[in-house]
Amino acid sequence: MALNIYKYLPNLSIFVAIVLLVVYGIFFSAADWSLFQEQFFNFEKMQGRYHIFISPLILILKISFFSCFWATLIGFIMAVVRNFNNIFLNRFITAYVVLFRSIPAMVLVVLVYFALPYVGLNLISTSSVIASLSLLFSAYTTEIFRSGINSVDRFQLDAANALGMGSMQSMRWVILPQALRIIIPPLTSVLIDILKTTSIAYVVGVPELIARARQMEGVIGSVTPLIFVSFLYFIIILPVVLFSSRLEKRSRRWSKS
Amino acid sequence: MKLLIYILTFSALFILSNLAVAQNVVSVGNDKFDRHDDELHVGLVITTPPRSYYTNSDPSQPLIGYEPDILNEIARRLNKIIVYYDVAWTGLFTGLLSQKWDIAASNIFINEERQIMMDFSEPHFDTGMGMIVSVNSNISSLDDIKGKVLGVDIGSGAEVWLRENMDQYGPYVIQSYNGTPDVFLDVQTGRLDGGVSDLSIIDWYVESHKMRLKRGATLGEPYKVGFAFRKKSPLIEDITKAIREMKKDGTIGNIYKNYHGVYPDKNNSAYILYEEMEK
Amino acid sequence: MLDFDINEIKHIFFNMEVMEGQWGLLFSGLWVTVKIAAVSIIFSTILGLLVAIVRIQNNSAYNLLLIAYLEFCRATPIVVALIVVYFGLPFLNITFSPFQSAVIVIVFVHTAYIGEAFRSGILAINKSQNEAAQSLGLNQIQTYQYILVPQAFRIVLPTLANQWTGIIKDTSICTILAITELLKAAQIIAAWKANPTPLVMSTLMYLLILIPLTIFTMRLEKNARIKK
Repeated sequence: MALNIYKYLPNLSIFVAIVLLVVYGIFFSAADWSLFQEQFFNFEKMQGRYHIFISPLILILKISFFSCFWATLIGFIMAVVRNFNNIFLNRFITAYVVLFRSIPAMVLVVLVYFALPYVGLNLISTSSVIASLSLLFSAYTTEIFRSGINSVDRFQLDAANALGMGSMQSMRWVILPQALRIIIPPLTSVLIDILKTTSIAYVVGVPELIARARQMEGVIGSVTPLIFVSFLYFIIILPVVLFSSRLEKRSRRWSKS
Repeated sequence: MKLLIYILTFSALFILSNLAVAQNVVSVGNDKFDRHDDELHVGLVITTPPRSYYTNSDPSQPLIGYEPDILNEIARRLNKIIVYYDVAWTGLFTGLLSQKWDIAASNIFINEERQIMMDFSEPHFDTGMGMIVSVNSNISSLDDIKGKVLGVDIGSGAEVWLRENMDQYGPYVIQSYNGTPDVFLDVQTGRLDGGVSDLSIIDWYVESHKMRLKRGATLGEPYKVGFAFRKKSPLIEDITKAIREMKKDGTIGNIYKNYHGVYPDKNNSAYILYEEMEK
Repeated sequence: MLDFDINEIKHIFFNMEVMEGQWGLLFSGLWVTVKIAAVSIIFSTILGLLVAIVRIQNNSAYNLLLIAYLEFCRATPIVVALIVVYFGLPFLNITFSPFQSAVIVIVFVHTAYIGEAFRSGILAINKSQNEAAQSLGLNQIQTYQYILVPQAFRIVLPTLANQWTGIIKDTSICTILAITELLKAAQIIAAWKANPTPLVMSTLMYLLILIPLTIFTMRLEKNARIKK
């Protein structure tokens, strides 16, 4: 930007420093920093317990994989169906999208796990999480796929028709290859959201990372397992985040050029 | 069309792999059980030593504790395989009633309100509710809890007791938690004036946190603890019989000693044989 | 596999007898949820705007810091952050109340997203407007106050509304803390009465708030797309 605002920056840094000082003064002055290492990074106590985290780690990856798969599949099918422009189907899909964009993940997971069994649909905790996440995020993927498909010029469809392609064929050979470029960046951010949302699985008793950490926390009397688990989450998700930021940047460049 | 076939094949494959890998859908219709007869499905809160916990909180170790030990012994005697479900208190009865598991076994106090919804096995333990407080707290009896903030586990007997006796001892604030360890943790942080839970659990926890915590007031009368079943469950008879046998030969007393250091006294349900369960 | 007997369903999911005398608890839960959401929305929007303005300055040190902050927030699940703040920090003798922890975490995470939204909004405004403002004799703060921020608001409103919906949805995660918000209240009653009606009722309450907001957001998004 062509603004000469650098002269304000010293003020700004003083401001930031003051805010930090105030925050520190209010909340952290009571903090005992010698405790910090003992409670937060006490890896001696963790010795020989790391293997406990292997199976929950695999479990959350499994949950994210299946949720991601179902969300993408449902989203794709809905977007294609949406393209048929059948008025009833459209209404249904819109209602579906609105409903699942509105409902909080936590609420849906609790509902699926604790309420559905009363009508005879009894899912174990892992599958109830997979089911809820797939439903929730398929609402987002539907919109992503739809905007991807819509982004392809209508004339191209006419051209495909003129070449004698059916609607399925033109979808496969004309629309999708172009739409994918637009679809993939937002799809990666859905993947990030799914990975993050798996952490709520612990309320319905899925033996995943946080549940294990909380149990261990009580036994060794230190928060280190929790810090370790947040670190694990971080190193799983961060590569995807960086990848998605890069994709977004690139797609922005595409749309500009 | 080809694409459609691709999609269908893929989804079919994935439904199958889903079923196999994540042992996914255990679909249980109302009375169409798809479980094996030789299995006992038990829902259990596993974060409450000494009642049920993993050694060193390592789930690859066997589940131990007063109740798991009794259940394992019952399973051995009835020649069945036992399947444990790790649950929060919130979902223990909901899961039982909705057939996620057939036995709920975590330190369940037998009271009239619960007997409306569920049937119980013969009691195998007597315990009371108590309060855990920080060492310099002055709560020593129920008269001191007025105006205090008390933590309980969601859906536990303690929560019900506190709500019902609000008029007599209150007013006080009841704060519900998703697990007993959270309650105990927040007593230490000072967010709670006291946490209400089962006495044996409190004693166990205080033992390892003597510097910070102590046992405060005792609440209400001692309760009988038993295993809960759905109404008219066919399992009750067998399990009650096994429990009675274990009482007679002292197995339950031995298990009690393992976790409490002493044998229970003769008036404890760990020894008493209840006549009304005879029929 | 499923038996859909309407009366049965009514009896299980809409059993008003179960709710008798319990509405008070449920509504107090709703009030707590609304409070958390309102405070978080206000703070994260204001802070997000500040973050965006700092980002715009192109000062590499601040930018590095704020980008790291953004990526950190994108990669940290709220549940983990909540547990660390609520159950972890007391080990350092820093004790927040559940309400404070909830607000701190939600604001911290969503400020990053909202800041990013505002940044792209301000960047989307034509640069010549800056110069025009300067030639009118407006100073820097006035330029932001009268020219850039109002326009940016209009541009980012769809994203902003989306984030606000996200904040309201995230309040339900606070049920893992010792705070009786809507979902927790419902769980308490449901566990007590062994009936899912309170859960259904709380879901309906959430939907009652969130569906209009979602529809509003989607309409805004559609308008924005058409304008493009």
